[in-house]
Amino acid sequence: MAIDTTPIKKQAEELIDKYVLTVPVHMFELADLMGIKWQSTSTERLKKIIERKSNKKDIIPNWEDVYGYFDHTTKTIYLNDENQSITRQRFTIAHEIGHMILHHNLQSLMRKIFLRQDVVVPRDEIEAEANYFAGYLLMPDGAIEDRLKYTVLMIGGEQIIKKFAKLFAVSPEAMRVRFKTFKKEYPELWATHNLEEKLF
Amino acid sequence: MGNTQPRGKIILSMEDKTQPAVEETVIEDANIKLEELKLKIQEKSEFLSYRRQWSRYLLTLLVVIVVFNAAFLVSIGMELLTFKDEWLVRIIITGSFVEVLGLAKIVVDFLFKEPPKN
Repeated sequence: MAIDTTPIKKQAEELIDKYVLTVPVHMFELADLMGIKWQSTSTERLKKIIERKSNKKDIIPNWEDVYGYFDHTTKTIYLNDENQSITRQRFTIAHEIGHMILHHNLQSLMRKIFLRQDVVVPRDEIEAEANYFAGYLLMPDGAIEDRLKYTVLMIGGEQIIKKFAKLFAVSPEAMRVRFKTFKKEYPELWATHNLEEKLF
Repeated sequence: MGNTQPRGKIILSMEDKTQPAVEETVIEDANIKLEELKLKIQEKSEFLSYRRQWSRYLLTLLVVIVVFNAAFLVSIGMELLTFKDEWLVRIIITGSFVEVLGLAKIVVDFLFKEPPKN
């Protein structure tokens, strides 16, 4: 899914500057600073919350795949903490903050988007934007660029992904996706550190 | 599927607010790992710097030995220096040659060895 990343980066950078964030970002603290409430909950409870808010039932086939939900009206993030690592929960918060910042104009639409597939703005695109925002907020370009020099100490492949995931306090999956977008955006930096042969 | 469930207020567990503390440990761990990497890079760069320094010292020493041998031989050839026992010159020249080989061995074994990876 091709999305325009420039405005998303700008919004994430603005947030980083506003709250003077350092990597790894304290996501729970950031949510508090932004006046966003967060609540841990089980999959079952999250299902009930979403069904209650939407007045519909069985709108999602796999509830285990729903990591979080942002309620625009109460400014609350509901986190599915069932079998979810802290790194994934951090990403979920960043993702929901992304929705809040990028899609605040779609507040009313969000519910429709969530419930229906035939809305004007495709849900996949909105989710991809929120994912990119979360990835950028947790792993900004500058921080990745700064840490690429350490790849010389690493063998390659999974080792680099795992070690970098630890450096950014994110999951290896999130790191892998972020590396792919970074490589696409900065191929020359990728080549400088000989990552073509070490990574993908 | 019809909405058969009573739509009462959902009470959420408020006691589970441990995430910030857990997040703190993950972030602390990340910062420690970053410091370790910084130290390793520093160690590697210092290692390379020392290697360069020692390479220069050894190269200077090798040049001194070679120049000394040349000067020594020329001095003998021009009869500026004389030795009663002709074996003395042979021993000194051979000794110097062995020193050069020994230094070359040190250079190859220690200075061109790969720096520690981890």
